[in-house]
This record gives sequence, structure tokens and C-alpha cells, in this order.
Amino acid sequence: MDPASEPSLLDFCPELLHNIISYTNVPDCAALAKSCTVLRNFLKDNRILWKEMYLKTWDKPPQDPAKPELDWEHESQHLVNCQKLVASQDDELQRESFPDITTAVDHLLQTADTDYGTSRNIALLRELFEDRHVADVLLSSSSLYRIAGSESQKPASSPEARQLSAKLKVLAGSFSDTYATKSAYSTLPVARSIVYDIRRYNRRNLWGPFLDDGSHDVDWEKMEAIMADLAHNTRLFNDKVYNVTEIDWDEPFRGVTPGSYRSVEHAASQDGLGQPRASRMPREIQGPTGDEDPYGITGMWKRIVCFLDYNDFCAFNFTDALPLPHARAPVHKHEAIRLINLQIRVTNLTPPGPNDGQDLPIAHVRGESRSLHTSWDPNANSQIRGTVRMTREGEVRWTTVSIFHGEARWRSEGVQVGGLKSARGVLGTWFEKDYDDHGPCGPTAFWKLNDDYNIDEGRVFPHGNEELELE
Amino acid sequence: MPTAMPPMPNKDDAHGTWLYLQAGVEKIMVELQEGMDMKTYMGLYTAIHNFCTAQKAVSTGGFSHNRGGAHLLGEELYNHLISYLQNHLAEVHTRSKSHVDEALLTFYIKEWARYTTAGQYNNHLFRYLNRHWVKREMDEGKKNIYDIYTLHLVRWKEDMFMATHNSVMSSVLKLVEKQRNGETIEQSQIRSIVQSFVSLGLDESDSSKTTLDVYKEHFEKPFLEATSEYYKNESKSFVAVNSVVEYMKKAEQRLDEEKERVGLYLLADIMNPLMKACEEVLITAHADTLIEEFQVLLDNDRQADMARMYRLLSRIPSGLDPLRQKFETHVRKEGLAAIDKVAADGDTVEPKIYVEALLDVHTQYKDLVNKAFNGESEFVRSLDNACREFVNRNKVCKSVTTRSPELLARYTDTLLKKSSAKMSEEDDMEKMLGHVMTVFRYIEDKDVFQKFYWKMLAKRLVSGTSASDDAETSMITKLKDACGFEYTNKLQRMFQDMQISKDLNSSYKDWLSTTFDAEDQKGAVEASYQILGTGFWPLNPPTTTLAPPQALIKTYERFQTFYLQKHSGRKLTWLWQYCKGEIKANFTKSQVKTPYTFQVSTYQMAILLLFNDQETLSYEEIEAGTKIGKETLDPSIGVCVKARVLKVNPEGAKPEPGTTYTVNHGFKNKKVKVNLNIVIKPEQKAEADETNRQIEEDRKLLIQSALVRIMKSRKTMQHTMLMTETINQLSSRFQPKVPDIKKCIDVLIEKEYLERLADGTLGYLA
Amino acid sequence: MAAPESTIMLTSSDGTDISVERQVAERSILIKNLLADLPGEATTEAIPIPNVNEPVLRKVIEWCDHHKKDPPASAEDDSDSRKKSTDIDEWDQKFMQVDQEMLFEIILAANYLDIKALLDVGCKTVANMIKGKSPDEIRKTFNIQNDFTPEEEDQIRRENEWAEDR
Repeated sequence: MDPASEPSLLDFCPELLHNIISYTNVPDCAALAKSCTVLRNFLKDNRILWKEMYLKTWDKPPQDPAKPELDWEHESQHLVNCQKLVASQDDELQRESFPDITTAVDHLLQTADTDYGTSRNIALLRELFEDRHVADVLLSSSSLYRIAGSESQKPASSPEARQLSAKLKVLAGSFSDTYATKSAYSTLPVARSIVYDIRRYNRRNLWGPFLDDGSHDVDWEKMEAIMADLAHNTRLFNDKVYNVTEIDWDEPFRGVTPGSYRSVEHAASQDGLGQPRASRMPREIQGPTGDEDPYGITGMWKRIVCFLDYNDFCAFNFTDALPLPHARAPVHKHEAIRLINLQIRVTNLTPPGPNDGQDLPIAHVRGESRSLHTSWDPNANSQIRGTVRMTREGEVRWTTVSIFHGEARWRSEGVQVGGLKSARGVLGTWFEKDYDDHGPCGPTAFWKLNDDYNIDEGRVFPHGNEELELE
Repeated sequence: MPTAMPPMPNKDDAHGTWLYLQAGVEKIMVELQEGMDMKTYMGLYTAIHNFCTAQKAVSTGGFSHNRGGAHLLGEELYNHLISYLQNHLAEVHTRSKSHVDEALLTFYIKEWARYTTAGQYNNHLFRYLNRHWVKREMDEGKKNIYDIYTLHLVRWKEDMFMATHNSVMSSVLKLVEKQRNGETIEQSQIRSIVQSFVSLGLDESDSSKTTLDVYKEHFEKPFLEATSEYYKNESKSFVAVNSVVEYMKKAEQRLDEEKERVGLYLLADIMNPLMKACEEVLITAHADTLIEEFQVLLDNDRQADMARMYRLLSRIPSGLDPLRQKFETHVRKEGLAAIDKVAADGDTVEPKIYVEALLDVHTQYKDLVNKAFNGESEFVRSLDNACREFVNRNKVCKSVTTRSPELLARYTDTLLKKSSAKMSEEDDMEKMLGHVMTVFRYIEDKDVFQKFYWKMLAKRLVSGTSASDDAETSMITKLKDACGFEYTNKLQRMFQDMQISKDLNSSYKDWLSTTFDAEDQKGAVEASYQILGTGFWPLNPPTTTLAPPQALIKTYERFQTFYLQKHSGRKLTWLWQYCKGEIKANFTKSQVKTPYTFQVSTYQMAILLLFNDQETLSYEEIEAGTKIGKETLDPSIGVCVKARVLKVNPEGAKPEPGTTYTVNHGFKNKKVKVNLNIVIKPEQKAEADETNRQIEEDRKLLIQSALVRIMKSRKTMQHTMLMTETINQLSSRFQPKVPDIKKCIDVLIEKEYLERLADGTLGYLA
Repeated sequence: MAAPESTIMLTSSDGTDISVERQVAERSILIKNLLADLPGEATTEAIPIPNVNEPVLRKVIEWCDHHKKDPPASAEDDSDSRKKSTDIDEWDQKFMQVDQEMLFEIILAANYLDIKALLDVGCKTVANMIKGKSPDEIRKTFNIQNDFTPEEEDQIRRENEWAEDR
């Protein structure tokens, strides 16, 4: 057939042309725009069309009525561009593109559907990142890989890029560690040499996973080390004793989107796998919701705490006076692990301080902490108090204090991975309540299980309502 | 004659297209009832379609492109339609002015129906515009663009409704007033108006949704205002000439009518605000008058009227609070009055009469709560408050505050004793025990009841005077349900002891027959034994010594041997004062056939058996022979003398050294069995005093242990806080008095359990 | 009310009367509304379809007949972009194997007669012809002239760099 005699696409009235293009894929729009002036003009600034294209490709972003809509056209093109970058085989190009890629990943996570199983953004991220090459370059370019990792893995040249790689890794999860070949140096001993290094705990970084510059911005390399350590330990632990099934740092991008937390029964009744627990009695105390609990705090959480034997800890830290930034040697001693149930609730909200993010108030928390091991470990059963606040950067920061028989003993500082009400929960550090330079310290994580809260407060808080100074 | 249609326009000709469409729309608006042909229908649809799709990229070198993306055609048609509707409605409005009242309603409804039907047609014919141009405008967030049918409604609202709703509504309200005055009206007209007002509720932010805003503002609001005004006036004049009871009937009837009205022609949504408005003017405005009448109704027991008042006042916020207060006061007064009546002779009131007086008042008002106040829990609470008050604090309790629980325990004792068993069938017994529990629940000093009950139960069991095991068990179960296991712990243990004793006696009999031959057994006294655990029974060892008569010694020693064989290491204490026996009197002259049998205490037995050896004994000889202490010996002899079993010499002499006693061979009695084992009256009073003293002691211990328990967990505590906490912990048992607690604190400080710290704080010394 | 199995008559733009099962014709919202609005007329007279000629109308009716039992499209399908799948079922794919002119005519007719499902199948078919093609291939397929100047070409290439493989 003679193509010149074919009817032209341009014979259609605009509504039909719109309808046709809306069934193509986003990259096709570039080809269409490049074909002639009419189609180029038709596509340019066509907000409605680009919105449709965006929404059929990615999850519908939550819309804050106070804010303007996304620039659908620009955002679509940016996302496609980043997908192409991640899919590229050009290592150097990828290492240069950390800012772009991290922005896109952040955008996809922040706007993702909260249902892990059906979110298109998550599916796309998994497709892109569950790839050995991507794992080697994008997820293995932090300082950790100076020593750890295989030959093809090396730290990026700029500290910013190393931070962004660590951030991608923390969001993506520890699954890529399982790709490691036998010859690769495990991340665990290196991660230990960071999380148990008391020199790295100081006032400027709040003794937590924050940068040393006093900005309270997250130090993603520290977060990466904490995750690597806990993920390894959980893997070991799961094989041996208990099964920690609710959290899996190895599952790519699971629970790292805002609002991805689901109460356990809720999740069970939704995926149709488990029967909803019918025997559960109606809750006696209805948890606070919405405005009273903007961080989704009230409920049952599970916590992991790891620590080094005190002798190992001292030997590691105090046998020499090596100054920072020189890293200490990898630690091959085994750690101990503790599983703890936390039942906590919001007691009140106060306005944020000048150094905090201003979007949400500070939530004050208290509750009870119970060891899941037998009661021989008196360190696990305690009262818990704490605060949750936004950082200026927009991350959710948790501070807790454990109180034994009325006396504070341990503190922790952490950041909720994936933001507000994420299922992944909090990664952070624990240390002595008076910030003791002699330790001990170590990594901790906690994540929410369900919304149940049924503590007899008279029993747990016989000392009334006084607040502890947490700063 | 249907209007002829102009020719089909050229698709690019906006003006020509509109002229063609206008003719069609006009037909639909005003001539639809004369029918519409298919050609015109398809013609109109096609004209719109062709006009909107006329824009081609190739022919024009690109789409018109004014605000990003492509511009769709249709705006001109849309605007033409708007001005057409405006003109049309201006004309309808002009015609409406010539109508008033019901005629206006008829006109409005007819025009509305015609207009909305036409709107549906136009919506179909303009569907291509709806599908594309309108949708696109909306997607782009343009305000004031609606689909064609909604556009019709918007125009009606702006161009017709806004100018007429006041007069329409006043016509509606006139009709409603007529109906309230008892006339018959055309209800369907109001229903149609309501529906049309509701249809005009468009959500400005999302035209696909509807709201009730228009209806609420322009129908509901004036309707509620008119309703309030109407009933304000009516109730005012009605109350002025009728009784309160009549008014309540009227108000209830009016409320029912209004409720029914909603179903007849109003929107269900109005129910709550309408009821609230009516309740405000019909009830709240007259609440004081109603409440004032309540006492009169109570005094005259007008249940039906009180029920009506309850129903009315329950509809308004906190309307029932004053009724509950008055009710509580009334019941308390009635209760106190009832006790005053039966307690005319002070302390000597019969337990049965006392308890029944309490119950009568409770029953009467419980019944009222159920019948008039719907059994509502708040009224039940008021009743309970009142009962608790008059049960624990009345004339009878004035001198001894623990009289109520004591009398209740005594009453229960009479119920459970053998003597009354004849008159109460089992069901009755359950019912009576239920009544006891009713009163029991109000008793504050439950420990007093417990103590008395315990003692009386012990007596019933030991003396075998309990009417039925079932009734006893039932009562204990009830107490356990009410106060918990601890409260009835001892009572249950006592029951167990009785059961164990029964088994023990029969195995003892077996043992006897295998251990001794018949000859050996003959000489023994036939006896039964009860083994009562120390500490569970309110029984003490005898206060007097006794030299048991020779005949008994062999008997009880055998049992002792048996028992200690079975349970070595245990210690048996014989409670002679609770033992009793029967002796046959072979000494009388007159008796020929059967000898008299005397029922006696162990002490009397010991005394009388002495006379087997000697006709006459001196007081000193009896004292030496029995070794019984004077306090027991004297009354025991006294009874024998009084029953003329013994003669005293000198006549009328007191039991004291020098007096002698001789067997009365001339003894005579109507009965063959003579009971000499009589409790001497003053004992009972003394026993009650003793019980009360024990209760006081127990309480001190309870308070002290509560104090220690609390302080042990708190370490330090404010004095006043400690008081409150202690009272809290103990109030299920009894109401501790503040001075008593203070005394106990002093004791504990002395014993160095507690110490005084600064600022009225107490500390715990471990 | 006409029984569902009753037939009605359609007249194509070129004057041919075609008898159609009512249920089949009602896949077209235009005809469905007309039958509801003019219940008397339609049972006695043929409905004029002035914008569609006989071959296209027959093709459209064939599609409607095959899909007469489909549940009516709900309003949400349109707004929920998640359901905007580009899949076309097998029968429809075969049905759409026509020359491009007929394909475009079917799209126009479906748009006019207001048969959303058919319109979408048509548009998806065209979209599939676009997918993955270079600008040149697109021009060739749809008879489009390259009207850019060399300067424009350069600018447009930069504008669309985002879609390039890296």
C-alpha cells in the first residue's frame, strides 16, 4: 500500500487525537513531538494529557489541596530520564547521576501507593534496582566499600555521592548484600566498626545517625552501617532462635513509603492470606488517631537492640587513641541481640523548637518495654519515654529513654526510614543516658506491629505524669 | 402546530448552527407535549457533533492553541444556550407573579416539571458537548461550567428560584399551618416543592455531587422557624387554662404528629432538627412547670403520668436530672418513715419486721423505676443511693451504727432455722434469700453481717437446727457472688467440717464394732461427734473446768483413741459448752409407762448424774463433784431447780455454799421430753456486744494491713492521699472512719513501720 | 416498552436501511437515549444516521453484536487511570485488522454514535501503531510531513533528550 495515501493522524479532531495518544507510553510522546509541528504543539503544555500519561504510568500522588498540582509534563520526563540512567550500563555516568537518581527515587517513594503489593512505583523501583549491575554501582558506593565489597564495588569520589548511595541503599534494603560473591569482603565487620565506634558519637550529631555538622540532617552512611549490621544479625538470629517475620530489610523497598504501615490484623484481613483474628476482643482503649497522633505512634512496636560484649567493646575502642577520621579496624567479634516489645502511646503534643522541622508538632511518648526473652535479662523490662519530631530536612526523628525502676539508663536516637508512618520503622543508635564517652553504644531498630495499646497505666506509671528532660 | 425546523447548518457555521439549535430547543422547552420527530432529534444531535468536530489539524495547520494543549470547540454553543435559558426563565418568572398561595404552588410545580423534563432532553442532545468540551473545561478546573442538565438547574436557581422562593415558601407555610389547625390540605404539593428545592442543591466545588444547602437554607430554616413560633404560642395559651397532666398529653400528641408529618411530605433529613425545635418550645420551655408537678405525682403514685413526664423530659438534654434528684430524696424519706414506724419501741425491733419494712420500700420504688422510668440505669442508681442511705442510717441504727447488718443476719438466721422451714417451701426460701441479698447489697458494713452470719451459722450447724443444706449452700453461693471467695471462705470450711464429721461418725461406728465385742459396747453411751477445725469456727474452748461424769469418760476416750489413730499429731479440744445429751429419769414416782427424758447440757448432765449416788447433795458437794466454775454452775443448777427436777433447801435459797438440793420424786410434766438446756436471756445481748467488739478489733487489723500494703508499694505518701487510698481499698468491706485510720497510723508509727516526714508526708520503713 | 429482542431499523448516510437487534443498537448511547426519549417513533420509523455510511455502519454493528452482552461501561472506568489498560482482546484485535482508512472511519463513527468501548479499541489500535516507533516511522505510517527547519530540528532533539536510552 502506498503510505502517502494513508489517512493522516492529523485528520482527527483534538479530542480523538488526545484519546489516541493517551494510550501510548510516555517515551512515545517524544517521538510524536519530534515528528511534526502540529503534534509538537499539541503535546507541549498539554496539562490534561500529561496528567493522564503520568497517572497511568505511576502511582497517583497524594494531593495536598493547599499545594499546586505536580508539573506532570516535567515530572514524567524527569522520571523517564532517571529510569534510563538507572538502566544504563555506563558506570561513570551513573556515579555522576546520584543527585538526579536519588531525587527521582525519593519522588517515587514519597508519592507511592501505600500498598506494597500493588504500587506501580514500587514495582518499577524493584524492576530497576534488583539488578546486579545497579547493585554494584548505585547501591555500593558509600565509604563502607573502601574495605567491604567486591572488586567492582568502590566508593564514589565525592562525599555527597557516597551519602546518596548510602541513602539509596537504606531505602532499597539490604537485599543486594546477598548478591555478594564469596571473594567479596562482608559489610558486617565494617558496619560494626562504625556502629560501635564511640568516637563517632558526639554532641553535634546528637549521638545519633546524623551528620557531624550540627545540621541534624541524616547521616545516611551511618544509617547504612546500622542497617547492614542489624540485617546481618537478624538473618543469623532467624536461623537460630526466633523468627522475626514482620521486618525484612532484605525485601527491596518494602515499607519505605510514607503511610505504608498497616496494623497486623488489618494486613491479614486484606491480603486474604491470614484469617483476621476473630477472637480478638474489642479494644478497651481506643488509640488516638489523626490529629492527636500525627506520627502514628500509639500501639505495639517491636525493637531490636544489638551490643558487643563489654570487654570486646573496650578492647575495640580504648586500646589506642587513633583519631578520627581514621577508621577503626573491622570487628569480627559476635554481637548479642535482644528482641523487645514496646507498647507506647502519645501523651501530648508541643510546638516544634527552632531547630526542628515546623510541619508537625513534637509528640511526647511513653510506654512499656518488655523483653521477648525470658525474664533473666533485667535490662529489657523498663518504662519508655521519648519524643518524635520532624527534622528541618523533613525526616522523622525519634528519641527514647529507657527507665528502670524510676531511673533513666539508656537513650536512643533514630530516624524513621521512609518517613511518616512508614512500615520499615526506625533505625538508630543507643547509648548511655548521660552521653558517656566510655560507652557502651550500639545499633537499634524498631518498627510498629499493630495499633493495640492496653497497658494498665496505674501499674506501669506509679510515679505520675512527670516528663523527663530529653534534650 | 409544531414549529417547522430551519435547514441543517454547515458544520463550520457557529451562527447558523445555533439558529438551527435554538429552534429545536424552543420546541423542546415549550412544545414537547406535542411530540418530537426522529429527524429533528438526530438533526440536532448531529449538528452539535459536526460543529464540535469541525476542527482539523491538517486543514488549519494546527489546532487553535490558546492555553496549552488543544482548544476544543463548543463554548459558543454553551453560551448561546445560557442566554436562551435566561430569557426563557425571565418570561416564566414574569408569569409567576400573577399567582399567589396555592395557585402559585401549582404554577411553580408545573413549570418546574416541564423545565426539568426539557432539561433531560437537552442533556441528551448536547451529549457530545458534555462528553468533550464540558468535560475538558471541568478537568482544567474551570469554575461555573456544568453538564447541560446541571446547567438547566443552575439557571433555574439563579433566574427563577432566587426571585420566587420567598413567596413559594410562605405559601407552603400557610398550608402547613392550616394542617396543624386541623384542616385537610394537598400534601403532594409540599412534597413536590421539597423535591425541587433539594434538586437545586449543587456542590459548587464538584458539580457531580449534590448538597442540601439550598433546601436547608430556603426550606428547612423557615419551616423550623414557623414551627417554633406556632408551638410557642399554642403551648403558652394551653398551659394557661389546663392542668400540667393535660399539657403533657397535648405535648406528646403534638410531637407524634410532627414526627408523622416528616414521613408524609418532608425530607427524612429534617427529623432531628424538627424534633429538636419542637422539644425546645414544647418541653424545655415548660420543663420547670413539669418538674414542679413531679412531687405531686410521686405523692399520689400516678405511674402513667410519671411515665409520660419521663418520656418528655428524656428528650431534652439533662431534663431528667431534677427528676432523679427528687426521686432519690423521696425514696429516702419514705424509707426513713417506714423504719420510724416499725421502730417505735426502739432497740427491740424484730429482725423480720425491720427487714420487711426495708424491702417494702425498695420493692415499691423498684417497680416504679421499671414501669414509669423505663428501668433506666440512672434512676436505678438514684434508687440505690436512696436505699443505701436509709438502710445504713435510720432510727434503728442511731445508737449502734451496725444494727442493720446485725438485724439482717438475724433475719437470715430465722429464715434458715428449722422452725420456719414448715412455712417456706423451697421456692419461697429462694425468694426470701433473694430479698436478703437485695438488702445485703446496700449494707455498707459487710464485715458486720459476715461476723454475725458466721456465728449464727456455726450455731445452726453445731446444734443441728439448720432447715436445709440446700438453702444454706444457696445463701453462701449468693454471698460469694456478691463479695468474693474470701468473704465466704470460713463459711464453706464449716460446711466441709460438717460433712467430714458425718463420714467420721459412720467410720467410727464400724471401728467400734470391729474393735469391741457387743458386751463391751453395751456399757458405752451412744454419741455423735463433730470435728470442727480450729480457726474456721467462731468457737472458743470452755471457760470453765469440768470433771466429766464417769459414764462419758469411757465413751469419749474411745473416740479420742480412734481419732488420733487416724490423724496422729492432732489435738482434740472438747467444747463441753456446746455439747448436749439426753438422760432418762427413773426416779419419779408417778411415772409408770415411759420415764421422762431430760434434754440437758453436759454441765447439767454432770450435775444430775451425781444424784444417782445420793438423794441429797450440798452446793459444795456438787461443786467438788463436777469442778464446774461458779458462773456456769449456778445457772445450770438454777434451771433444774426452776423445772422442779431438784428441790432446794432452804426453800428459795440462792446457789451458794450451805444450800442443799434433793431429787424431786414428785416431778411432773405434760411432756415426756423436757428441755432443760435453755439459753439464759442476758447471754444474747452480751454475745452481740462481744461480736461488735470483735468486729472493731478486726477492723483495726484490716486498716493496718491496708496501710502497710499501700505504703510498701508507694514508699512515701501524703497523709491525706493515704487516707483516701485506704478508704478506697476497704470500702467494699466497710466504711472506715477517719479517726480510726489516724489511730492506726499512730500505732504503725509506734511499731516503726512508718515514719513522719516533712509536710505531712509519711514514709515506709522496710 | 419494546421487548429486548425486538428489532429496529437504521438508515445509513447513503440511504441503506439496516435492521438491527435493539439490544445491539443500544450499545450506542446516542441510539439508546433516542429510544428512551422517543419511545413511540422508533418502533415505526427507521432512525437516520446521517454521519455514517453503509460499510462502516455494518462494521460497527458487527462489533456491537459481538459485544451486546458486555456490561455497560461505568462512569468510573474513565476516571480511574489504573484501568486504562492498553490490552485489546483477541476478537477485537482481529476485528481491527482493516485498512487504516476503515480504522479511522470506525473511530469517527464510534465517537459520533457514542460507543465508548469501540472508540477505545480503535484508539488503542492506533496507539499501538505509534508505540516504539521513531519520528520518521510515525510520519511514514500516518502520512505526516516533516515541517521542521534544521534549527528547529536541533532544538526539538534537545527538548526530547529525556527519552533517549543512556
